[in-house]
Amino acid sequence: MIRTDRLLICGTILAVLAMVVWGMTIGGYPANANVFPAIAAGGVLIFGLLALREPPPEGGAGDVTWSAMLWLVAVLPLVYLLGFRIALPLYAFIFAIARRTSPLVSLLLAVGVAVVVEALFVRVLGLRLSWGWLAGAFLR
Amino acid sequence: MLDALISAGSQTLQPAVLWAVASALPVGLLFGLLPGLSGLTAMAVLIPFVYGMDGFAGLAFLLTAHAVVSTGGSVTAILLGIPGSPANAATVVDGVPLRNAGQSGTAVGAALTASAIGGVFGALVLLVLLPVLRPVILAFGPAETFLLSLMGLTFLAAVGAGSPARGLFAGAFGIFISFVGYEPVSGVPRYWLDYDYLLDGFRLIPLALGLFAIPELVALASGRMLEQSKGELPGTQLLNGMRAVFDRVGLVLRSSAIGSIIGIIPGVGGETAPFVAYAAARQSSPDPERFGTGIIEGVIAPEASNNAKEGGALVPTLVFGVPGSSGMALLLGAFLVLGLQPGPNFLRDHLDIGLGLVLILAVVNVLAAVLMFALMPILARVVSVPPRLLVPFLLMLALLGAYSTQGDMHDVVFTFVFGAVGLACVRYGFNRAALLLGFVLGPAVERYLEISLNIYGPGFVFRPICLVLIALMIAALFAPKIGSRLRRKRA
Repeated sequence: MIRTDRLLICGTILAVLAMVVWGMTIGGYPANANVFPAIAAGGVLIFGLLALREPPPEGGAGDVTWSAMLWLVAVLPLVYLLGFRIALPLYAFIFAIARRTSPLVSLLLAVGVAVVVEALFVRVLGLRLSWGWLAGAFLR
Repeated sequence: MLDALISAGSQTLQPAVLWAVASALPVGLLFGLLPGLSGLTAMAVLIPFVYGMDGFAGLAFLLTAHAVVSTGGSVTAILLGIPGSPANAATVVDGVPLRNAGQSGTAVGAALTASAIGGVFGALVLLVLLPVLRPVILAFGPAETFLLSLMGLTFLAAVGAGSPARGLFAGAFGIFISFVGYEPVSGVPRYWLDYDYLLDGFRLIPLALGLFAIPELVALASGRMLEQSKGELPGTQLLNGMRAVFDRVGLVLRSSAIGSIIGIIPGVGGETAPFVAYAAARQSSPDPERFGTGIIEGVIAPEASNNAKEGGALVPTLVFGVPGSSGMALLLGAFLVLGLQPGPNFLRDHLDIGLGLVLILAVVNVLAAVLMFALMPILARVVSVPPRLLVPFLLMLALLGAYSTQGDMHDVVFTFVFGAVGLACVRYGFNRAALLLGFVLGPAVERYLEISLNIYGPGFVFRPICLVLIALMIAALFAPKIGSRLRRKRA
């Protein structure tokens, strides 16, 4: 059976080498712009080959689940659609409710997130937060 | 000199200055505690407030906020596993295993004490060297900076635990991705895939947050508690941490000296200092294989160097008007706003202000540690907050921290991209700290080598300081092996 870490190392080596070769040929970068990437790619190749010979590491993030990763990534489309100001409190509320938190506590969490976003990031830091595609269309 | 010192002391004790320090201190610590917000952001936010302030009070205000950020960041790095600022990334390596073993109090106590001592050490270095340092800094040209950066790269294998081959693989990958974007000398854009965001290369904060924060958040969202023991931070643990620092004075002083030296030299990058101090601590330890598994020296070394580097970074700013880091560039701007002109004549005309800044730096580092100690009973509760409440809050801080660097949504997306890289690193034993160190040092090595070759030709390696640095590099590479062989013989 193919080990995932070996697959990852091989994929990284191939991607890095492909980029360097592309830069030297089709990309047409001048020689001095290629030197250091080529040296770094050499390092990736040599140490990658050495790492391939090693046994798989023990432990690692064994308790990590795919659903947790998907939960985290889900915030991204939400932010694109609704903007930070709406998406982050909404996400906090849904995340807490989905994990059997009482509606009141979930609501308080969402309000807390909204207050920090507004007070710290918008008022103090002066960040211009976009409203997102959907919310922006309504607000416009 | 003595007159100037007395004048500096009396200026520092003015109510306006004390008020400026007292108001900037919690702000700086808060910026450190919040992931993604760095000292640079703190200064950028606070600069408008210095208009109308008295010159020295304004500088004290900004310097205080900037200097204590890494003290706050160390607590976040240990308790949450998310570096408060990129400079705290090396603290995560041993801080998190200590937290997982229920020793977060010891780790935090050690980190805060080391930060305070490192900060005072950096200020003392500044005080002692300020009048005589000009020729030393002038002796550090691009060739020496190149070799110093290269020396940092030789520590790649020594940062963190696990297989050296996997550490070096991650480090080489970090170096490679640092070359994306404009080539520093010719300005040729490389590997940007017709994607405008990549023209300036990947950014440090999304990389640091992605590598460290996202894997921690995924683990939390998977139901893991922050601390296995779910305990609070007992005072005895904090005291044990303090004691651990005083038991290792040599390590603290050596790490602080590394921080000061790296801080003094413009161009190497302040984020490098904690990694170099960590690697040096590991190489000089009789127990190097325990580094990365939760050893207190792995927290003390990076934190001492972290705060010491701020004193060093002030030197070129004051002496030459050349900022050693982007944070110092903003401080330089504040000098001009306040009607002061740093540079060769600054110390002749305003030695009292220079010395006053030294005093401020020393005092605020101690005050920051004291304040954090006092706040620990409250801050420590974060480790027992259920993940279902903690994850959305931390995710918000991480995403907005990434977004706030440039106000660019791409940074948020790339935080997730690097988060995937971080997860793979955690899962398959690749060293995240080495990847980050490679990323930080790659461009400096390339830039300064090209400049050195253009100015001096290949013979630059024979410059006196270069020869010393090469000798140090060889010693750093081989000393641990020789040391362990000698120890084995003796045993």
